[in-house]
Amino acid sequence: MSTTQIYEQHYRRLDASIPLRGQRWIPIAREGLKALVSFRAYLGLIAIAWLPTFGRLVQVYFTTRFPEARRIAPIDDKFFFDASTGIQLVFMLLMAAYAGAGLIANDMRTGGLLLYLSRPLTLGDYIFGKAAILLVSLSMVTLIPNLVLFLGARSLAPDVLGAPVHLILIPKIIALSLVLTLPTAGLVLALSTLARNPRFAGLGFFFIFAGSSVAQVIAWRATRSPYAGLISIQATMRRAGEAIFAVKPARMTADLPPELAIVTLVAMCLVCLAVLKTRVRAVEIVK
Amino acid sequence: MTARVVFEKASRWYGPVMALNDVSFELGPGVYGLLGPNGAGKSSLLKLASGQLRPSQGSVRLLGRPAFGSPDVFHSVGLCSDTDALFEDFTGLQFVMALLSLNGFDRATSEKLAIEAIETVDLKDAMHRKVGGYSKGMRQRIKLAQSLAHKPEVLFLDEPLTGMDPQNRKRISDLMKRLGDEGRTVLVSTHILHELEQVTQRVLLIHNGRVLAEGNLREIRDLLDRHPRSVRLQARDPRGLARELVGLPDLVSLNMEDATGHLVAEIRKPDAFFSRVQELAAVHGVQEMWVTDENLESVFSYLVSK
Repeated sequence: MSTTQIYEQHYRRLDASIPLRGQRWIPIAREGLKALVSFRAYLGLIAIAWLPTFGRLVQVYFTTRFPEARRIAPIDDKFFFDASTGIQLVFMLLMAAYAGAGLIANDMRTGGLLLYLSRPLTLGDYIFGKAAILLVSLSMVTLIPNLVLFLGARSLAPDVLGAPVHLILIPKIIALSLVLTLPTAGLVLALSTLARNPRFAGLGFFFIFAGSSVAQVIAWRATRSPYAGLISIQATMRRAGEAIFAVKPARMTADLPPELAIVTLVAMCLVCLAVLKTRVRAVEIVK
Repeated sequence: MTARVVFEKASRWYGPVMALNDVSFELGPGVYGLLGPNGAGKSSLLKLASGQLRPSQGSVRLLGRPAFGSPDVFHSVGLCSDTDALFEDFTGLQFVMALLSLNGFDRATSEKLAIEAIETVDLKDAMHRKVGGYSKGMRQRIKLAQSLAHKPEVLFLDEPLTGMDPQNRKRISDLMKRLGDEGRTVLVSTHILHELEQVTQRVLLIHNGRVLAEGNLREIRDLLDRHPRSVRLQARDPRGLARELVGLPDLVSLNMEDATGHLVAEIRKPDAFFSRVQELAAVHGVQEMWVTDENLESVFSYLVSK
């Protein structure tokens, strides 16, 4: 510069009062959840997703009144396994598409990523913060209702579930929830980065989820191989869950080693993570 | 000069497209204009400076650290980008507070700083309205508010005056000047020359990814004065006016458009020319006069050809 101006520092430097390292994702998650909670559809979906839980609690109540009903509908591990993998799975998919499809896609489409990355955040903070929004949302329709179901059932039917040995169901429910929500969250977030348009990401998610199950049935009919179950995300999750709850496996995947199902799900999560890291970084590079 | 932003032979390309080519400069405290026509590489330069992009070659340092991959540096950096992405369902206040929370400020401090920044950009009346309902100028101001709310040492402003009315342009221009006078480093990108003149005399001229000129705006003005500019005149007596003008020493050419009856003059020293036209205005009924190519594109083309 040809002219030199003398400046004195007249401004005050500000330092944040909260140490950020290790918890920088929390504000992203908090603000994202705050934004989601302002939508009635989001709250409505959570409310509807809790109806089966209340239905099952009513069922438990009836079995305490009519003990002979336990022979038809026993309150056992399978009862809680079915509670997680039945209709609850549909709500989980709906929630994943609703809350997750736009999480990153919208930021990428509009350039909102810049708002985050011009703050003291790493890419990991951003991805983790977004994943936390989705995991909390998914837990609201899987983990939390199932834990409430267990605790409610335990208080309604202490003769059946009151013994300390049944407390093992809590880690089982948590483990099954992780098996269901982590790959789902990974997949929908990865699609969110790939599609940019939340609608396409949501549709793509349903297509992959449903399509993989159809492909599994076709492959199983053609080969009768239990490994065909690995094609289906749902069947793979279910097989891992069956092992956790030690319930009788489904016919098509009865001979599929559950370890293999778990390894497949872990691999799926890693692939999704790699996609996330590549794609979110790509926004910065290809503009 | 304490250099806060340092480019050393920095280049950046997207596939085969060269966005920035071998750019070197240093910025200390004060306001700097980043001037260039659309597509010159201003946004790429700002993204490199603000650590959003990694340089393909060379280095970019911000507050003594590599700009890319040093997230902690953003405690002291503010960015008002050209993107129109905001949190549409948040109110203005919530929007600024949310971004302050990403800096690690607690709720009470975030609120205080957010209100301060919103007052600075004169949006207090609208701070409880949803950002989605803001006008273009208001969106621009709330973006500006979020960029300066945490009182950064270095501010990058990408076309900050776009969409603002004259009153707010003046207000924001004064604000930028004040921030520079306080000793902060403010880099303002724009493609409109006169916007910068109100704020700073120090500019970086960028064209086709290269820093073409770096220096005082007066020097750039001199370059402009050497570049023949086209002036269109509408007068009641264009022939009489042409007769008077034709003898001026800095006139390069003079033509009359048959279709419109306008005089089109190419001149080198606009100030002298404009004074002469003023003197003749009443006699020959000069109704309008406008410079037709006073855009940066033509100036840059001229500079590049030199």
